[in-house]
Amino acid sequence: MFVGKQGGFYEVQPEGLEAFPVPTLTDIQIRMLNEIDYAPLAIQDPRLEQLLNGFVYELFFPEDLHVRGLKLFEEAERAGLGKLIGVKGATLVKTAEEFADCAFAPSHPLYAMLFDLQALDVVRIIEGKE
Amino acid sequence: MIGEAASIDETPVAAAMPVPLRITSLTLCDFRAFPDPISFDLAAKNLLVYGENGSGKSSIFHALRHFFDLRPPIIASVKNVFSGRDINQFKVEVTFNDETPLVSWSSARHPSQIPGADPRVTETARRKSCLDYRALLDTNYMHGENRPNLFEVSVARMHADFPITVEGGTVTTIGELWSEVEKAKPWNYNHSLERIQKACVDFNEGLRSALNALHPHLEVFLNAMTRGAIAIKPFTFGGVTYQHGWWRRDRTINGRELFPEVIFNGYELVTPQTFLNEARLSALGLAMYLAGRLACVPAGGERLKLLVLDDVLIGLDHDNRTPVLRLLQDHFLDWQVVVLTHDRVWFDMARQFYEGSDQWVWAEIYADGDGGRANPSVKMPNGDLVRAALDDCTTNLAANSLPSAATSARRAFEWALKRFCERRRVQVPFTMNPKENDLELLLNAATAWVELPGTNRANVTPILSELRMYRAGVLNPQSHADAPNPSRQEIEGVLLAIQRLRAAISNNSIH
Repeated sequence: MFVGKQGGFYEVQPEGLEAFPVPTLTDIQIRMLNEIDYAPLAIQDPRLEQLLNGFVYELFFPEDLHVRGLKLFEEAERAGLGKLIGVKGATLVKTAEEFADCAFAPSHPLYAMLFDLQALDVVRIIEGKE
Repeated sequence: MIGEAASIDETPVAAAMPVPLRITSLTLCDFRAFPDPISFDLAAKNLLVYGENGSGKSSIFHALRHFFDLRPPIIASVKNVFSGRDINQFKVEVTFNDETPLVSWSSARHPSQIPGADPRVTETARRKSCLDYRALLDTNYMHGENRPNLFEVSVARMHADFPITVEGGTVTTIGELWSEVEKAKPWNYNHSLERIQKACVDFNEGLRSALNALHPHLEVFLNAMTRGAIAIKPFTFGGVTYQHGWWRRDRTINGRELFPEVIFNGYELVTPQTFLNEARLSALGLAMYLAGRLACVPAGGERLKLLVLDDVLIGLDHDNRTPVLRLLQDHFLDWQVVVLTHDRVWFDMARQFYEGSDQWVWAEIYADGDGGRANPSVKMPNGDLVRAALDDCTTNLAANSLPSAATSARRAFEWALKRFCERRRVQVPFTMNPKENDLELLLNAATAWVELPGTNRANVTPILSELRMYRAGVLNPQSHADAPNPSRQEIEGVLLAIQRLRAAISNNSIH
């Protein structure tokens, strides 16, 4: 899709992008992905970035995840990720911290799902852990 | 908004599947000590295995460890070297309690191999915990008289597979983070230091978060195992740093230090390994390992969590082993536990401890003779110690192995008598001499109990008299070395007497 150029620049090849599959988002996926401002959070806590990665896996490989009971969008909403919708600044950071402390503890189902994500073929292949 | 944030739902919701995944059987063929096919029927329960040294216990340990492994060894390194079997006959097979066909590790493929890996195997590989006694020794004795530095053992063994989420949301492990530190060391003086510095930062953050996460579990486990005698302060890990230099020998990683701050009854120990007894050192090592696992493996759920302990209780006496059994019962209830031991007495005691729980099955492995190349055999006795010993006796009699039958009869007698005294609340005199023959004491006490005037216990008297008679021969543990072999009739007579004693234990008409 991209071509490395001298000096490390990249050039976007549109014909590659045109064929790229773009999943259609469901309502819950729109809420969890489009209505939360992850930009200031992901750098601060890599676990939120791990959750975002998980969302991407679920968007592109739903069968692989769902057959093992991994439904990250549903579980994240159940765990309270929706509290971050529309929140900004320091309140966003604090709310996200509280969500992370709860949802990324080993006793929480969302932690277990992210834990098991690493055992899936697609994830092992993509992350080079075969 | 802050008020709303505080109301985040903290109640985990249980997964839907009601029956947890468990192993129902394990079959090995041509794997290490097992040249021929052999099966262990776990029945989806925990397994306690007794076997003498060289009988194949560690082969079971390694079979489970490598079957549930994302990076299994090559088959040549675990194949039985004496079997002469073709490599195609090598197999480790596991069946689960989910009504699916068995899963096989063969020369064709390992079940964690992608594409097409079995998710139950890969998920369990990330949850399993396999610990042998060598790992425990690493936590204390290898440090001699020096202050024990647990850095290497923590990073390379005990917490190597502790998952850590790093920048970018990628999941790695403590072991992989340390591996990256070592790989990132510059290969010449002018090389950029950016990679090594980042590797050190990532590793330090990862290890600190792992140590912080495991400490609360460590406190609970130490308290349970040492009855509050030992406490440990939260770890203070200063972090590793890279020291650059012109010469390769000067380019080193500093700060590879992790010292446990152990407190024994209020006294801070600098070198716990020279102060604490073996039991407490083993408890410390075991607690550190188990705490690390509980701190990262998801709690609850329907996935298989496998804990395999190979002779790790070897350094504990009975008083200190019971708390470990209790700890397994309390904190690893949702795990499938496999414990391997070479200690016959403890094996029997553990069976008694778990009797009635219906969560354990037992196996005995034997591999006698042939210069250590014998094909081990497995017995899976039921939970009734007396019944199991009587069955052994009957089997040995059928095989005309009279000395073995006599040994089994003695074991059946011992447990039957102990059980009789326990259930009937027989008062046994106290003795200061631990070497005093306790069976004789029990027999005397039981006799006094049945002869108590005003009771209806008289019909037990002839049973005890008969058993006392056999104490001079078949039931005398000192007699078998030099004495001629006991006769078949004598052993059959003992069997009958023990069965009658066993019946008397549960006979409600005897008061």
